[in-house]
Amino acid sequence: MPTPSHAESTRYPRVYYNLMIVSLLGSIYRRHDEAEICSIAVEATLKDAGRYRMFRAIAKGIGGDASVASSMLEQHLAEHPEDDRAKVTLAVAMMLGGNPGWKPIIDRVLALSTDIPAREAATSVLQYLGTLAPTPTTTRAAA
Amino acid sequence: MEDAAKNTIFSDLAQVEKTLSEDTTGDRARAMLAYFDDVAKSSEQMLHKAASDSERQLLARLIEGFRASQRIIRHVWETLHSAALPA
Repeated sequence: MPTPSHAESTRYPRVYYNLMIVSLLGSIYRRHDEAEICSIAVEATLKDAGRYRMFRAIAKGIGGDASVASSMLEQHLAEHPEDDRAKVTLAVAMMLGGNPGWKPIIDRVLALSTDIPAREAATSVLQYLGTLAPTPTTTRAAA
Repeated sequence: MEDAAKNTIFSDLAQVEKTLSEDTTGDRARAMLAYFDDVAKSSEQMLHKAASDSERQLLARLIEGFRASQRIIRHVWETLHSAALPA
């Protein structure tokens, strides 16, 4: 398992961090049942699971499932309508999962947001996509 | 801070995937299975001594998580190498 520099810097136990890594790997490789079991355990070790859930939305997006990102986006924006960085993060997860709803979100951030890092992230997404043809909708691995 | 954490966790995740991808013999995968087996067994021993319901509940979830982690690692290795992981 990797040396968890972030885990050590925040004193999050390494064994929990390793469990987190494997749970995300399970989402990417579409072992959703096993990843769910790991995630329940991971969340039990966290005071605030919000960031981990965002990681998981991205991992599931990489695995081709944008549903988590979509539902998280709705829930998160209902509570934090001004959080443009979360919008970009979840839009990327939706894009990776093949949900076309990501594009209007990025467009709205670029049109309306005053959050510079969020705008830069949104711009980076579009610049990155400009280097690809066609737009990526593929998944990492078959179940 | 959040971006750094995101980069780190996905960097570590990519490193685990790379390790499994390059592990043609399955040695590294078996080492990871052994690691999660060890921590699961340690947690089982702690479960027997747990004093409170909340502690027991946490340990039970962790044990299930460690066992599920073994199945995920095996699945990832077998997907990457299109073969059953040798014993």
